[in-house]
This record gives sequence, C-alpha cells and structure tokens, in this order.
Amino acid sequence: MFRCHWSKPRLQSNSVRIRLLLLYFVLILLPLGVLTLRQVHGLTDLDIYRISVRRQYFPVSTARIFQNKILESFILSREKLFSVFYF
Amino acid sequence: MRISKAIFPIILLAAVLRLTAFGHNPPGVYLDEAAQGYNAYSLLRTGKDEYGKSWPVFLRSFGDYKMPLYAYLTVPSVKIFGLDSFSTRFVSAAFGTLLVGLIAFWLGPVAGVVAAISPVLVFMSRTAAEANLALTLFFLGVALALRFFRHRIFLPLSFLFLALSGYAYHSYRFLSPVTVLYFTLIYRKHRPLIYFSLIIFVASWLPLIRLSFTPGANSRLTGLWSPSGLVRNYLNYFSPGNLFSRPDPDPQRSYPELSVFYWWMSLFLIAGSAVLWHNRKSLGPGAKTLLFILFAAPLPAAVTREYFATYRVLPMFVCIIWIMSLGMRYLIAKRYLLYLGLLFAGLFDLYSASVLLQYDRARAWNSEYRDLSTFLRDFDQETVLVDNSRLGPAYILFAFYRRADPSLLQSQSSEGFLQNYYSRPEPDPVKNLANTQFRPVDWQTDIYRKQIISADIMAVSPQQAREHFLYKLGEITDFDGKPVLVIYRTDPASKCRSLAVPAPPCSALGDY
Repeated sequence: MFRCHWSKPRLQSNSVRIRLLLLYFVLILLPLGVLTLRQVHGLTDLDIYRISVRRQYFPVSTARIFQNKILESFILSREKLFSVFYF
Repeated sequence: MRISKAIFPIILLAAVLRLTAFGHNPPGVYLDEAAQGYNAYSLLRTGKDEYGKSWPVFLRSFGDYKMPLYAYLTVPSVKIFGLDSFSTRFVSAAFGTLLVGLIAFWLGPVAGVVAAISPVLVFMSRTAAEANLALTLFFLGVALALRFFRHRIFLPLSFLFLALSGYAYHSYRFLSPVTVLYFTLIYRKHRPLIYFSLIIFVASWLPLIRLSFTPGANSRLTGLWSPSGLVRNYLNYFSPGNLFSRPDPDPQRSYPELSVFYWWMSLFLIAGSAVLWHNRKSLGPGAKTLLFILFAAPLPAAVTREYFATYRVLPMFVCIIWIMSLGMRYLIAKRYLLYLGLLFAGLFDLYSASVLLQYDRARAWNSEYRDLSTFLRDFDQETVLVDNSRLGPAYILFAFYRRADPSLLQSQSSEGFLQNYYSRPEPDPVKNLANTQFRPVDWQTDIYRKQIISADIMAVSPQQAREHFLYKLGEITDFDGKPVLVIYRTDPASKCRSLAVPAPPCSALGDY
C-alpha cells in the first residue's frame, strides 16, 4: 500500500533489457558520440575562448579535466541531439 | 529494516551536497531571497513585515504577494545565525534534506540516492526556495495519507501538511486541494475520518480562503496568466530536451549547463516507463497516486506564460525520480555498482556546474549589489540615489545586506495603506532607506542636486557623465573585472556654469 517499489521490478525478461539498451545505444549514445567527434573540429574561436576563460575558475590541477574541447563539444552535441526530442 | 539502514548514508550524502559552501554558492542573494530573509528579520524584530503589517497571510514584498510560511520558518534561523544568506537559505536546505530521507524511506534507497544527487533538488535546496519547502510539506502529506491504514491519525495529519504546503508556495493553492479531493475519493468509505480530515484542511485554509478574492492574493496569477498556450506549455514539462539537456531558462533557477536531471538518466526513465507499462494492471494506490501527481503537477505552471519553470512543477520531478529508480533497479542488478556509478557520474557534473555557477551566474544573483552596499557605507552623511531602472526592488538588497532597521521601511506605510494591504499589487516606484533613495535617474533634476548617483553601465554612459559633470567615485566589477555598476558624484555648480541659458533648477543654487 505505502511503498511504491516492488521488491524486484517485474520485467525480468533479459531480451527486453537487451532491446532497451540497444535502442538507447542507437538512438542516443551512437549519435552523441558521432556528433561530439564532429563538433570537436567545428568549435568556433568563441567556444575556445570560453573554455580558456572558464579554466581560470577551476583549481589549476583539475581545470583541464572540467574544461576542454571534448567536453565542450559534448555539451553542444547533447543540446543538438536532445533538441530533436523537444515536444 | 534494510531500507532504514540505507537511509542514513543517503541523508548524509544529501546534506553534504546541499551544505558544502552553503550560503556562498550561489553568490550573492536573489531579490526573492533577500525579501524572504529581510521580512523574517523584520518579523523577528517587530512582529511585522517590511510594511508594518503584523504576521500577514501574504507577504506583499514588492507587489508579488509571496506566500508567508518560508519567512515565518526563517525567523528562528535568523535569530540563531543572524541575517545573511546562510540563515535565509537554511530552511530550504533542511527541508530539502528531509525530503531525500522521505523519498528513500517511501520510494526505496535507489530513489533516495537519485533525489540526493539530482541537480534540480540540490539547486533548490541551496537557495531560499519556498517551493522546496512546499514540496517537502506536500509529499509528507501524500506519504502520510498513503500510510493511514497503519495509524488513523495520519490522515488528518496528512491533510494538515497538504494545507500547510498551500501557505508555502502559490502552485500548491491548486495542487493541494486537488490532492485532497483525490484522497477524499479513494478513501470515501472511511467517512467519519475523511470528514474530520476535511474539516482540518478547510479550517487551516480559512485565512487563505478569506483573502482569496483580493487583488494581492491573485497578483502572481494575473501577472503570469496566459492560458492560450496551455497544451504546448503542459507538454514542455515532459519534453526530454527540457528534462535532460537544456537548463531552466531562468538563470536563478538552474545550474549552468545542467538540466533538471543528468542526460544519462534518460536511459533509466525509458526503462522505468517500460517497467511501469508492463506492470500497469497491478499498480498499487501508492503508484497510482504518484502517477496522478505526475500529470496534475504541471497544470498550474502550464497556464502561465513562462516556457519551462522548474520551480512551479517540483512534485512531478519526484514522480520522475521514482520512475527512474524503477528503471535503474531493473537494468542494474548489482546495487553497489549502481550506487558507485550514480555517485561518480553525478558528482562529476555537479562539481563542474557548481564552480561555473559561482562565476558565470554571479550577476544573476546580484552579487554586485553586495559590493555596492559596502562601498556606499562611506557616504552615509550624503544623499545617495540608486538607479533602479533595471532592478526595481533593489532596495531590498540594501535592506538585507545592511540589516536595516525595519522601522525605516515600515515608517513609509500610511494607516490607509495598511488597511488595504492585500489590494496593492502595483510595485512602489520610489523607496527610501535612510540617506539612500531608489528610483530611476531623472535627468531634468538630479544633476542639479548635490548627491551621489549609482547606476549600472547602461543607465549612465561615459558621454552622459562628461556632459553632466558627473565625477566617477568608483565602480563595481564582476568576477571578470568588467564594470557593472558605477558610482558618481554630481557637480551642479559646474553643470549650471556650462549652460548658455541656465536651467530652472540652477536658480535654486544661488550664486554658482
């Protein structure tokens, strides 16, 4: 009555699980990877300038981890991909 | 038993994420936060709000008539910690952490961890968000209603919490009665108890009902009302793009580059939806209630003109967290792998967004007005004019940062004003705080008075400053060192001397 989770979600079929993961890979992960790789070469001077400005906000030792061309490209690609799914 | 053991580490995780650098990040305070904090301070010192109204049912604030519960609950924290961003945000953080514990207990530890790290809930808990307080009260009410078979007192208690959530945030003035109606229908066989609970709810809402038809009570709704885009707005709240990629367009309501949830959580929402669909014929009352809330919660937000306001639809995100937790438990059998993955992926993004928030969004959080307030302390003996063309209620930031004596603001309200307190939604064009006046610069008269003028760089151009003999005393810069506010001293005598035909105000200066 009170708890809204089953002790084990009743959808045990392995084939459904695999189909779900495959669907997600084809619909999201693969296009995201391809778009990111393409975007890395398509970054504008403004994008690169923004990365260099934002690096100053982070500790020097970690700045490159959180602000780099790949992550910037990934964020741009993510917005592009998810914009397809806007209602 | 297993769940209760897991709750404490989850609550600890939630508390750490909400309280690290608490009060400093977001930097500065937003206008609404300053209003909540200052009114709590005013209530503590005088038992009246900034206008001199004793314990009002709606806080007039700057004409938006906020629900008052957040400010009332902030009174003790202002008493203990003093008036600052920490004490003002404390209630939101405390109730946000409590909500994570409730979710972990009610919807399972996986849902608890997701709630603990979800950007939207972390962000709301770090700001003085009355919607966050309302959210916790609302779900306390819902959880107690679903548990009333264990203790009969839970149902009236539930209706009391639902009523209280209506005093915390405007959206719940719709959602609470609808939820009460829902529970009344599903528990209609327990008549004496449901009647008693309804009496509790209505009695608690009497002050609200009494004022419901005043212009003030509806000022937020009338200001934002736009039902023409109802269907499109409603669907916006279910859009994967809005839920997983694009941040809330309001810079005071989101982390930079982070949406409501992390993008990778979309996988679990799909899986959770599949689990729900598969089990659609065996859903219990708890699951049905959550689905009811999921679809009812966006309705009050959908009738407003704003495109995607996360603030107004927080209950639906708790329902989505529950669905995602179902998907996670279905896809990942090994629980420790799930927790580690959630923590690593979530904290990576959250850390990055927190750092960016502090710098990228500093201006959205008015951090420059904190510095301006400090700068102008040196000019307490002079007349100061703060141009508020672009930030109407800037006075409240000064009152907040200077911990201004409430009587300074209260003395500006007449007896007639207080009698019509709930009927004045129009903002005040001019505000005074000791030697400082807040209004737009009047170029016909202000340059002929000896005073200090503070304005943003858009309000006074360098050419205007030269033309009107305004001498720069200083400037307030943002984190990148760019000037955002400039402080000038007027020189009426030089201005009058420069004119071929003296302006009328020059005659008042005598022999200039």
